Amino acid sequence: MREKNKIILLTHAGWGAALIKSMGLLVGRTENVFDISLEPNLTLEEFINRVKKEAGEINKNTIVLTDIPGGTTSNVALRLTNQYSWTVISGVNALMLVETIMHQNEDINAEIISKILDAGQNSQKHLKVSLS
Amino acid sequence: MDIVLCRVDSRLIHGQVVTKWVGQSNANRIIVVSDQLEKDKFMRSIYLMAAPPDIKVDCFGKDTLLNAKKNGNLDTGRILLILPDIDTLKSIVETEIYKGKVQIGGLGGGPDRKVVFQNITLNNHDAVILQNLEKQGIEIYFQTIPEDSPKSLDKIIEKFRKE
Repeated sequence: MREKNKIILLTHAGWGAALIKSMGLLVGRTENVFDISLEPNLTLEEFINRVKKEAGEINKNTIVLTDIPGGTTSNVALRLTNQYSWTVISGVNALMLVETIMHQNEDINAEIISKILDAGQNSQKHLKVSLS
Repeated sequence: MDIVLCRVDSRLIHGQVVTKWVGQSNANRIIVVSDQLEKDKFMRSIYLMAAPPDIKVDCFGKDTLLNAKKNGNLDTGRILLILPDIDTLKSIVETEIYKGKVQIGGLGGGPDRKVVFQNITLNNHDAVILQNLEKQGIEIYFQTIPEDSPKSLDKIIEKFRKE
């Protein structure tokens, strides 16, 4: 049976782990989704090695979701694209993660990447009640 | 030449720099000084992408930086100068590219390095260089993010020499 796409979160101080746990409650359970934490005391080299060690087997359907574009998490994810054929998307939020999980049984293509981005972006609204 | 902030940070352009220091210093241009990065097109494009969209980013090796100063290329923009390590700092002071205040914001660990403040480590090699630079009149302070109060070199060296 096809294994679910690996989803790796790269976040500063590991806040992604809490996000995964919470969204697990929302979607039922999560499988093959985990966070690799960038602790503030890690050097760049140490974090790169941590990612390589904890990432495990990578294929072209592996998706990396990072917290900050331009941050060390994203820089390292991009840097490793010279070795890993993973897809990197920055600015992970709750619904972006949920959308990515929903496509875990499909091969990743441009359309799915677009849906993941849309889910993240569409979840950001200024909420206010308007009485018509 | 308007260098609004000179920061030593081994992670170069990253979260703290992008979210805090560009705004705080009102820089509109970033120059990363690194011979290694100048030659590495792959890594260079990653760091260039890391900067905020409206900020111009250059990556110059030490010689290129000196030439840029000579032909007036450093005279445009409010520059956030980012240096990866203390040796690079020593080099730009010695070649008289910059003699202003220097912020030590992040230096990664290593076998002979000791944590002196947050994510800043020093070894003896770096400590000696910093003390010499201070004797030459360069003002050096340690500060990771704007919310931290800056620590003076004296306090940091004191902490380094203890234990």
